[in-house]
Amino acid sequence: MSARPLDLAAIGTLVTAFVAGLVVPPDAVQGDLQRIMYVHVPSAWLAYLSFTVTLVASVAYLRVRSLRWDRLAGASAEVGVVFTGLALVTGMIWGKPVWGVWWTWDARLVLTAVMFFVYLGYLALRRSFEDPEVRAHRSAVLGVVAALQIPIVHFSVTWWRGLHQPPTVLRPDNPQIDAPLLFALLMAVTAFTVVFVALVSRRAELTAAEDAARHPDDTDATAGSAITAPIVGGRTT
Amino acid sequence: MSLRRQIATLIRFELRDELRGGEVALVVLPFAVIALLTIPMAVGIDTPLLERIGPGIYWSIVMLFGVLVTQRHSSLAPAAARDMLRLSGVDPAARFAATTLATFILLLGFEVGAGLATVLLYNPSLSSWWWLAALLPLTAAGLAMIGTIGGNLVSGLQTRTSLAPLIVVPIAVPLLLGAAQATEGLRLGAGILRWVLLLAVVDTVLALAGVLTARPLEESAA
Amino acid sequence: MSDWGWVSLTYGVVYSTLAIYTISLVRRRRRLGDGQGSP
Repeated sequence: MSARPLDLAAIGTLVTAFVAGLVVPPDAVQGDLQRIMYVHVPSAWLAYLSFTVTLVASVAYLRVRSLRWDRLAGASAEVGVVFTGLALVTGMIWGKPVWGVWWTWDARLVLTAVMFFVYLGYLALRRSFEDPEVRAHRSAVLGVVAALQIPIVHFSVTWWRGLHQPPTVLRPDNPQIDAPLLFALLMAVTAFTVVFVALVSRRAELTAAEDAARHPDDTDATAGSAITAPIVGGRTT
Repeated sequence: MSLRRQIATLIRFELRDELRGGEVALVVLPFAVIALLTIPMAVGIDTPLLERIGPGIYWSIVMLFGVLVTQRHSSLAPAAARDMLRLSGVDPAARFAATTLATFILLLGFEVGAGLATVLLYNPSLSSWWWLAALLPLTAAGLAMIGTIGGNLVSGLQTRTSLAPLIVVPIAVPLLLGAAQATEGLRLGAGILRWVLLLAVVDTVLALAGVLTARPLEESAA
Repeated sequence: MSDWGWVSLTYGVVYSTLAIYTISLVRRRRRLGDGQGSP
């Protein structure tokens, strides 16, 4: 299995971002801990992007009924769960030296955790079906319902934590950020996004291959494609 | 048969099945009460503490064990019955509405039962208890809708008893937060209108989602 | 632990997770490819 341009781009940008994150000067307030943001912020961004993609792909599937959309939805959700998990872990590791505890009931952390479990359930549902069509149907419905609930979860958690906001001087994304640090951050976000696209592409392709292996007679073709031209004199055209 | 009569008939069938089986009253509710018993066993029987956490524990129990109510046997029509309903022209949205309403009624009863047990065991303060007349139905409705959608998603699966709760509970978080913050607000004498509004919004979104997704789910029903 | 310690821990977790996930994808694909001979 050869490396494609997308894969090479992913590796290239990731290496560049990695180096940039290490080489850039430390933040005036947070010191070297700021470098954690160069992996935390991109991961969090991808968490939201991936589940948006799953929503769009789910809606697209329900309208067009092409399994291609279902595979995209599933791939995006799986890669999204990986990045959501990373967002959570990196957020917690950042919080330990800063706040002294592994877990705080910060609104964003709680929301990210809930999202993680919502899409874990989505993946568990997908794994339960053998038939790609049934899987696609059911997952698409859950994809839409879950995505509709996420903004509501966001508001309810924010309202809830808003009542007990501790005085925090250090917020994960300090808006006042110097140019070189901003560059490192943007580089990281770009790199992670390219990695995300590459991984989703591979994951969707894997799903297609697995489905084909398990159901060799099913294709994306619509009804009627099984009918060929009549054979006349030994030729089909 | 008009839509309303379809729904009414279906609700009657489900509730009658439930009355015969008694799963909610005789199994899930006792299970929930046992859970309420185990918590003081685990955290200690410090009375002021239990008074304080009682309402929160109640809503947590309602969410977690209410899911079992929504996945009860009588709500999961066997494949043959489903097919028959479909062939006789029952609107999928009507089936969703009927199952949800039947579940709503059962959840309401469940909430009252669990509530009585909580009052007995935890002795929470009951100021402005009349707000419960709004909170109980709002949470029961929301949970009923999520549970019905969840049940349709996992129909036909072997793993549905563990998968359905995994899917339902995270999505039900706003219901839990709304209800728990409302009762906390009542305890502190603060305004709770925003939480009631939150519950109403959640329920509306869920109702829309349920109706819109009823037909696609019907197509892939086991 | 020093600040660089936390940073190293974080980067270690992130990049090893991505690597493990990517490798698992490649291996699963390869396993299928052996059986089916697909492109």
